Formats: sequence, C-alpha cells, structure tokens
Amino acid sequence: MRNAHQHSRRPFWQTASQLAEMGYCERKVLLSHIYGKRVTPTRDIRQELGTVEHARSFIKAQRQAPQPISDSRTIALLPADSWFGFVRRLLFSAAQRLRLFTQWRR
Amino acid sequence: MLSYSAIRLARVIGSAFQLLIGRMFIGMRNARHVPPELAGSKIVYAEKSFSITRPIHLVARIDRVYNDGHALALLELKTRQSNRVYESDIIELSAQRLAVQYGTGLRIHDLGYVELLNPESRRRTIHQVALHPEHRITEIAHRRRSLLAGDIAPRGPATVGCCGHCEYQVECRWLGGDPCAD
Repeated sequence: MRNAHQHSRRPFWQTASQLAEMGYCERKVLLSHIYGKRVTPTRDIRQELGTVEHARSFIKAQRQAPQPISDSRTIALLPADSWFGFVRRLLFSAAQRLRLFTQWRR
Repeated sequence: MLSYSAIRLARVIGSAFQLLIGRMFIGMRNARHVPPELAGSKIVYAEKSFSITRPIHLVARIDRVYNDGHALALLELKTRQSNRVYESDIIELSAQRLAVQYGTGLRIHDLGYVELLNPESRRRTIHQVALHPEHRITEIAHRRRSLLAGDIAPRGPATVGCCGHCEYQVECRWLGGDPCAD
C-alpha cells in the first residue's frame, strides 16, 4: 500500500511533536493518520492547561530576559502587556474546563 | 496638617518598600525555575518557531532557549501529574535542537532540560536529559514517513500502561491484535 507521500515531490513537513509521538506508540501515529485525531475531554482539558501554562511561562521569560523577546503567535494568544487579556484568558479557560468536565461527567 | 503629610509620606515609603520586597520575592521565585546548571544564563528565545529544510523538513516550537556564553541550551515545559520524563520528551527536545542548530547555525549543548509542572500542586521539577544525535532524529522522521506511506508495520507502545487511555483501542485490535502485544 503506497499513498501520496511516497510519490509526491512536495516536501514532507513534520513537526517535533509529531516525531515525539513516534516514541510513544507507532500504532497510534498510524491510526490517528487514518481515522483523524481524537481527543477525549480529559486530554482536551490537559491540553488547555498546558496552553495556559505555556503562556504564563512566556510572560515569566519576558520578565527574565534582558532584551525584549516577542513572538507574534503568543502575543495574539495572550497580550502580554494587558492584564485584562490575561485574566480574560484564564476565565475563558476555566469556563471551558468546566464545560468539558460537565460533558465528561454525563 | 503636619501629621496628615507624615502619614502620606509613610504610606508612600511603605508602598515603595513593599514593591521592592515584592520584586525581590518575584525574582527569587523566577530564579527557582532556572536549572542550576544555567544559573546566570540569559534567555535568548521563548515560544519561538523554527523551520528547516535540511537535513529534513522540520518545524519546531521551542519553549525556552538559554545562552550560557558557550552554547545554547533548550528547555521544554510539560504539564503533567507524574514526575517522569518519557522517551517522547527526549525525541521532541532533540528534534527542537536540530531545528535551532540548522536554523541559527549556533552551537547547542548535548544536554537539554525538561521542566515538569504538576498542575495541582504547582510543583516544578527540572530534569536534565541527554539528547539524541542528529542521525537518530532523521531516522525517526524517515520511519514516520514510511509508516504513513504504508511501507512498514507499526510497532507497539513504548510502555504497557498507555493503552488504557488510548482513543484507538478498538481500531488497534483490528490493526495488529491486542494492544500492548509487542
């Protein structure tokens, strides 16, 4: 069985996270490629928590760095100069977690 | 009138002192999040994406990169309850090193850091890990490409316990028998 990856001349881009999944379970890599990515509510909550922690870590890194460090995607995700944006993000996250938790309990 | 001014002045001095002490505590708290080996190092990148086309087409988003004056050191943040570093963490960090190395042309340390944050207790632990060499990452990338092309059969999970939380348990039995068989 061969598919487009083998014959295509287009570059086959991979991310570091995708390569990391190979160290977890190759069957899961193949099945998620065939059937699409599935996320359980628990895993979704964990991913959301991870996103918030990464944003917090970025703000701490900005404070520690001697020169200003910035990245367009993270700033779009969470305006570092606005505490309102930070609080709004946390509240949104908490609401989403609560919604997912109630769905999961059902 | 004099006493009112004195009270205001005392308040201002008190606020300034509080701010100073607060900043000191913030500094101490932040300093704990830096690996001891990287004390005194400077952060050069945070949450930055790198993409390279050689030796493989790779995109990586790096959590933090420190510069200790000799070379760069990578740190990856993971939010999980268990205080364990998995093989997948080391592969991800090694792939990130490849991306930063070819993206910037700078020298990177062979050791990386995984910061584990427990979301409940808020406890942070930093683990130093030995990164995989370049050829190992390119092998994994080529293997993944062959796997998705259907040229090779997939191997089982690295740890037996991970099958209980898997979303593909039914399909996994269709594919290769019982999960965790290998």
